[in-house]
Amino acid sequence: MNKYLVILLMVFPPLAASGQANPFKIKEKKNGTPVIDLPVIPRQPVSPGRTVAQSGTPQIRTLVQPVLSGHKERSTQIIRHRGRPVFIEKESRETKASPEDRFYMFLDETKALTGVENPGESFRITGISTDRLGITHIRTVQQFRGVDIYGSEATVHLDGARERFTGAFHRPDRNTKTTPSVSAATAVRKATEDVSAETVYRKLSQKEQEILDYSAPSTSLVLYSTGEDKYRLAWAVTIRPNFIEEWKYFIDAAGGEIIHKFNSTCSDGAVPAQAYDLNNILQTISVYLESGTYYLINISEHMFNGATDEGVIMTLDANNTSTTDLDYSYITSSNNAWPVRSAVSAHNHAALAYRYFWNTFGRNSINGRGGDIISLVNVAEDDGTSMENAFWNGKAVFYGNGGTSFYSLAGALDVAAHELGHGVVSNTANLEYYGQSGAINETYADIFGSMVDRDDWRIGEDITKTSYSPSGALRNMADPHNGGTSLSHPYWQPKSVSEMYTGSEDNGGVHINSGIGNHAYYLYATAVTKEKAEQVFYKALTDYLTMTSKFIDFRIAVVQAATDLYGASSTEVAKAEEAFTAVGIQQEEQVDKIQDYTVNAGQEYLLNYNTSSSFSGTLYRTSGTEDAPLTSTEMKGKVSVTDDGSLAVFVSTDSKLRGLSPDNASDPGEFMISGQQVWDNVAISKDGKRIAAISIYADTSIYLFDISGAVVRDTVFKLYNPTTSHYNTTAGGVLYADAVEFDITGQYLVYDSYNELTSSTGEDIGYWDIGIINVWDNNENDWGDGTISKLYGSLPEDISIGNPVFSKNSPWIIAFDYIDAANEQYAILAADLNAGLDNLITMNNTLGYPSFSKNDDRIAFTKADGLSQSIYTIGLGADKISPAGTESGYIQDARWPVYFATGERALSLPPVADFTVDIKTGNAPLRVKFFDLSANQPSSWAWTFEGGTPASSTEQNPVISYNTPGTFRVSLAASNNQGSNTSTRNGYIIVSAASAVEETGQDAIMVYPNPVSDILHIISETEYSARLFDLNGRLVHSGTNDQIINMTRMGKGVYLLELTAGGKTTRLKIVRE
Amino acid sequence: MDISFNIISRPMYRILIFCMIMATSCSSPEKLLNSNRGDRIFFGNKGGFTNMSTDYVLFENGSICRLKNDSVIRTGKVSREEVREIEVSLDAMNFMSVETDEPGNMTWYVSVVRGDSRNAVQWSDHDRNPQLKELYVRLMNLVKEQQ
Repeated sequence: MNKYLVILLMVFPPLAASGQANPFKIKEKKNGTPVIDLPVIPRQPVSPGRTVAQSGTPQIRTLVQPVLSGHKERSTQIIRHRGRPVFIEKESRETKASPEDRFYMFLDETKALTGVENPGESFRITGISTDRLGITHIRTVQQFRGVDIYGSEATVHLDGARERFTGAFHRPDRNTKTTPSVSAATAVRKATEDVSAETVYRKLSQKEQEILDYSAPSTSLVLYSTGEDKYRLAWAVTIRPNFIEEWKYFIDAAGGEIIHKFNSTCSDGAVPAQAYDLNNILQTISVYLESGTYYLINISEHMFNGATDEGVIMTLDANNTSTTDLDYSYITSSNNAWPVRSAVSAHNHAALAYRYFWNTFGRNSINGRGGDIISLVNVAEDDGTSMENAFWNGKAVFYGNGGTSFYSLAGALDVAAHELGHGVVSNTANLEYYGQSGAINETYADIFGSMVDRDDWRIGEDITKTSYSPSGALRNMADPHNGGTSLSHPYWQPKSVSEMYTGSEDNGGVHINSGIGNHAYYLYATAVTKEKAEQVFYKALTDYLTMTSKFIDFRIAVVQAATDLYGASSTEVAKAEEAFTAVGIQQEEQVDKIQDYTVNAGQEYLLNYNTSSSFSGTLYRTSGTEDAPLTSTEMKGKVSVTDDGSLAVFVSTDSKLRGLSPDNASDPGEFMISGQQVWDNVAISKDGKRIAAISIYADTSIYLFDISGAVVRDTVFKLYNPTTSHYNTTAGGVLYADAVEFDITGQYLVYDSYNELTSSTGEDIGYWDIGIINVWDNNENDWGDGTISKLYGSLPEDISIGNPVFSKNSPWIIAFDYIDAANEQYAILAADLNAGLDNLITMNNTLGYPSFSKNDDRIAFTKADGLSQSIYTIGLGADKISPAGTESGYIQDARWPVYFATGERALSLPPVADFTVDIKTGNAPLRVKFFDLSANQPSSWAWTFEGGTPASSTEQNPVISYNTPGTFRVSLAASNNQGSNTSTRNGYIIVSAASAVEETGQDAIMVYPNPVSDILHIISETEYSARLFDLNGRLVHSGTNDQIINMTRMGKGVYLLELTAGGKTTRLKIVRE
Repeated sequence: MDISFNIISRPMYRILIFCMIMATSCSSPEKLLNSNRGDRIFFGNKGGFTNMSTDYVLFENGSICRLKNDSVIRTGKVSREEVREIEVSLDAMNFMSVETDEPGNMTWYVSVVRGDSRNAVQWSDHDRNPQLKELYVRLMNLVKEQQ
């Protein structure tokens, strides 16, 4: 039976073809969406973190940026404006050269990017300075044949291991004149004549000349820009017609006419201002003057890009409106006076926070790319009352003016740094704002707050009224209890995991449990210094933490960051471990879950597509000396092969789906899969049970066919671009997919897709990128949920990636093509999605369409060879993402290599059991939620819980109660059809003295059950009084000798039971479930 | 979904007296939470630097109660017609089936109790949730009418 004969009933409306040029691949696609008679499965977005541990799901780490185009700490980062670099950052080389020489070395090393051939002839150094942080700034002006280009200031900053360029590059035409015909004296005469007509002109007295240090107009020969790369040689004349004014003239050096002039006495641009802030301190802030009006806009920071006008710090007035009816305005002044003190505070604090991130971490603004920082003051509550809060909404900081509990929140530096810190978190690890990850998010915001406002460990002490918090601080990292005793005090936080809040209020306690991470940071910084601690924690945030990181991940990330910076056996690492242990975040047992599949033991071949007209065949099978043609059918792209080599599928140039058997060269048996001429690309799963196909339409779809049963099932998955936003936002922009390949399990497809976005300047940007989509669930034997992860969170301008392919034996290793369209640069990169690493395999000169060999010890790829193409190979290192040796030619006049082998092997692995919990230590009764983290898709779980209730479970993520103190073992046996694996951890759960029993002398009061769903029983041999408070400190019950408290009608959550007997008061945490 | 209310900590009787003085049909906060009488809509915001919340409840009979930290700032009453318009909006957007659960640094929420059914949504990005924002603004406008 030819099970691969698939009849596809699709009707496509007749539409005109549309071409879409792009720098990576050129695909002719038809517009519109075909009418398809298929059951479409709605995308079911998985909310990450809520159920944690998706067993067997690969930890697909979205990478930052491709290694060639700006991956942090490994390569050069470039920001371009209209195709030209305006910001370059790269690693420094070890050198003893002087700053001047280093400037020229920098330009020499980047000439391929800048187009500046002779930096020594093109730049004149105008100043060198070193700031207090040791960063050396080399200021220059660009020249053309020895003539300064007016306004061409550029600076190279030498900052230890990194060097940065800011400015722009000018490219005057080579015919631009540099020899004046008009003399300087003539230019001065013309300027003098003209300014005399503009204003009062008189000769300055000797005294006036001394004061102004001016005796006569000054001149300099410059090239003055009049448009796109157009320059005129001019005399720049600076003239003071009277004591007050100064004018600038540009006199054409050839004809003597005035090109441009302006009164530079009060020039537009950045100006300093002094104004009192909310704390009655006179601050110096930077504002902006334009046409006689001053704006609360700061363009003086390093991040400001004069070419794009991006990188401003702006403070706006919300005019007492709320975010639901926001009506904001610029804050302006006619005389550079700023009476709105909240605005002065917010403006100043934003600049201080920016400088902290820049000077401490080299981080260029909140988004790391010199993005604007916006603050709004005078924000009201939604009901129109004064807002006693401040928050970050993903785009700006909003400040309320306080009320009964807080002063105007803009008045606190740590508030500003805290909120902007949320922005930094959003643009790095993007910790989800729920549960433990949300608490870590809040911890980082408080860390940044306390590091910018560095004189103490208190948070919000400048704006918190003692009527709200007796300590005068909202939180305290040194002592999270902050003068309170329990959750009944809103300023109280737990200082260890044993006190952790486990309810659902406050998004799972993000503001409550942040006290645990806060205290860990305090302990660490106290032990190793704040300077070291902030570097370690920042590195953990930017390099290791992910959206759903838990407390244990926090510990692992910080310890790893400290290891990276200081070495594994350093004090800094030891102190990090101590700090987390001290707050109850214990070391978790590390389970190595990464397994390779067994290498296919069969004969290896390389399929390749012939490009020579000298041979009649198209697809060849090559191995050693064998080079056998399999077909002469012309193809649109490379073939896709099952793991055992029994079937290859491809799309012929007539857009039909076809198949053949490459393991039988003598009789490949080519056949038609689909005769409809609607296909562009196709892939078959390694087990041969499913086909994924791309149509010729720009329909944002991948079509899936399940051919494992007697009846073919089909569905369509719609593509989308998940953003890295805070809120699981999906963004559009995807038009269509092209290259596609199944992973070895058949559950995931890696694909490339063409996207179009509109930039902030209205420009359409087209690019290719790579995604991974879940299309099948082996446990359910049904379609997957369509969730997409992107290989890179963002790609720089002019960069595209595509043609992804999985390695043969390591599920998380892929290789792909990379192109820098601006520089016409090609490369093949490889990435380890589990480790979050990428690496350059080899540079190339065309799209490579890489393929891993059966042992993953080699990659074959296409390379342009003169007028033709050939297949080359290069060895791989043990990590499979590093090159080993140099490339070598393999097959001439061929392209689209695909390795395969003819053996049979298992395409799934037995589980590797692993688990974690939300809390490991605490007082009885302790309620613990277990999370299965086992790899390789277990289908059943067998838990045993020593000392727990229940004592065993077959659920994947059970909840267990521990009602008696002790140290308890936990065991998990995870199984699937490939086998079983057990993980046992002794002493895993530590339960301290039962809070359910309190002894008062010889008497005891027993309270049960806890958690409680209806009736809480109290048993006591003595008289007692009881009071029950909810989370907000509200008394919900009081009585004496009650014996029961009916909690049936009380809301779910945490309550505090206060029992007083024999003059002694005991407080118990009661969970209403 | 459990809703966080920063209920007052003053003795219950003061709340009752306050509500009675305002001639509304508001009950004690405890009864607000646990009463099964009548449909009601809870709405407000929470989070931010101070983690304070602003909470309101609109009852079926038009009564509005505000709960903020330790105080009840004001109460009021809207017309039955205005309540009906809200109910129509809820039906039009099929609110009881909406599954928006997107907390953020500052989170807005609406929770509806209808008989034995209850549905709560929360969001932090107004631009991504225009329908919910519109509903919330309409509810808040009812509050503002009382000022």
